[in-house]
Amino acid sequence: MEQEFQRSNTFWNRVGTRLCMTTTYSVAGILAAILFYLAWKGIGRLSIGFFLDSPIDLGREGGVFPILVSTLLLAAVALAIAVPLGVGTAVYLTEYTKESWVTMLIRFGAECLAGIPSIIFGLFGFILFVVTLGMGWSILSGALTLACMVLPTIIRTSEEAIKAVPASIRQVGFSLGATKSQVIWHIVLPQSRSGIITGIILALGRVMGETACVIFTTGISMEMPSSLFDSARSMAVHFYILAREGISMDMANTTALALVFMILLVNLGATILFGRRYSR
Amino acid sequence: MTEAAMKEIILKAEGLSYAYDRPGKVPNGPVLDNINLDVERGTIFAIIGPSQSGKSTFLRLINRLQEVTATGALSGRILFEGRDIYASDYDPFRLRREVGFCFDKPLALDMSIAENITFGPRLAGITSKDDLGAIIEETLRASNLWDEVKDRLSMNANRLSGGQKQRLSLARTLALHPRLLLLDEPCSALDPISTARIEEALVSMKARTTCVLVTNNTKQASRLADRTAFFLMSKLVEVGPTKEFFTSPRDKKTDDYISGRFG
Repeated sequence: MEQEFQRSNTFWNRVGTRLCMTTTYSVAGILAAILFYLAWKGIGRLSIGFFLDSPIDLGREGGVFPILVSTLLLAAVALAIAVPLGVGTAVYLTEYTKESWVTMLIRFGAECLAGIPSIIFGLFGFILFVVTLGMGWSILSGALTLACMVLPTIIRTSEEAIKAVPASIRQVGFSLGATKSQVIWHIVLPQSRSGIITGIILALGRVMGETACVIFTTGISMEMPSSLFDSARSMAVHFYILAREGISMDMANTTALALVFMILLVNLGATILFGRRYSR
Repeated sequence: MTEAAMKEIILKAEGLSYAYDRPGKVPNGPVLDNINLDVERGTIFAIIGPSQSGKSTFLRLINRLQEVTATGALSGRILFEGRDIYASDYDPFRLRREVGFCFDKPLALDMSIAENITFGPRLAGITSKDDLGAIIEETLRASNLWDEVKDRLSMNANRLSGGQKQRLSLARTLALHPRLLLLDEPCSALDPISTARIEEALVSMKARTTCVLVTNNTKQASRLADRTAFFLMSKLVEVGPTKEFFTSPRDKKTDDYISGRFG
């Protein structure tokens, strides 16, 4: 009897292990397939010139240099707005408020915001920033709209990271004569840094890959922007237009490949720059 | 007057009672009930008693750490160097620098060993590298950790062992040169060797730093303390010189506790 139990136990154990393994490899496989497909389709037109030249003939020839710069600029400004707002909100929600209907409401609002399709944000940004506030199609309008879009992500992940810092560590700070703000600034935020960075990197990926929102608020100009008030085109929008308008499928694929690698590079850079200073 | 009576009282509790605002932790009655005791400068004062007897709360009230995490009603007074620390004009942040606290769990801040120690002094406004360096060496020596970590001060403190972390906590607390040191079961998570090293450190510095030591280990109290107090169910049952306390306790409950009949 016991023997049988053990056998079935090991049998199901094995099934469980295999099942988990299969799912993991499937996920990795899907990712690899996408990357492989992109590389296969896009590598043909990839060259140094692709990154350093301006687009010629609507993007059939030339490169993507101004578009690349616009994308980075858009992402940088969007995060410069969203990160302080998001982390500040997370700190307020976790450190300064007791759970009440107000915090529940704020949290619920943030969750709802996370579920709204990006094109709605685009429409909202178009009406508020582009038209009502008169910023026109500009990098600033786009960045503000993108900031609204990724704010919930940053709030949520920062909140979780801050909550994960044990209360006892905060007490050490207080016991050394620190004020509440000193405890937050010198102990809690540094210790939750890696979690907060994870949220920022997620947000960065969404910002750099966003299309609908950007078309509505930043426009599609291929020129090199001279200020934040200029219209510009992001890599994702460029890809969309090249493919959708039937301009050049080859250049579209190369743009997609370049975008994916840009996101990987920026993520890598952020992790190295702001990640853990010490090895554990 | 005897010599003992001439010693300065650094800490005095007068009719101290405390109860949590929210019910839950100890549902019936106060956590501390009319505690009166004196601690002399330059001594080690031990508090023993079973869990839930109020001894940790008492300790946390002395440097006003209790109010950071819980709300409660306090009556009576705590005098540190003759001043009522709950007076409205008393600065709790200064108090916490002068009255250090060492926790029961080894807790390292997520930074380097050196930064752990300089954390308090930096907040207190000490910025000179030489001064901070001197503090690091002095406190690590005082807590018997210097020889083990002197070559890796910039390593993350979380890579230390539990016993080392606890000595680091002690060094971090000492870095502010507290005149009174509160220790909440500092050795409860440590092996005997680490415990011995902490005990050595406490004894060697007691002339400068008065200690109030809460411990579950009655033997530790008998080894280290000049005076010992016994808390039971929110009340102070007995307090006296350690030797008499352990050899001829006046109260039957004390006798039962130290001889291991309950608790």
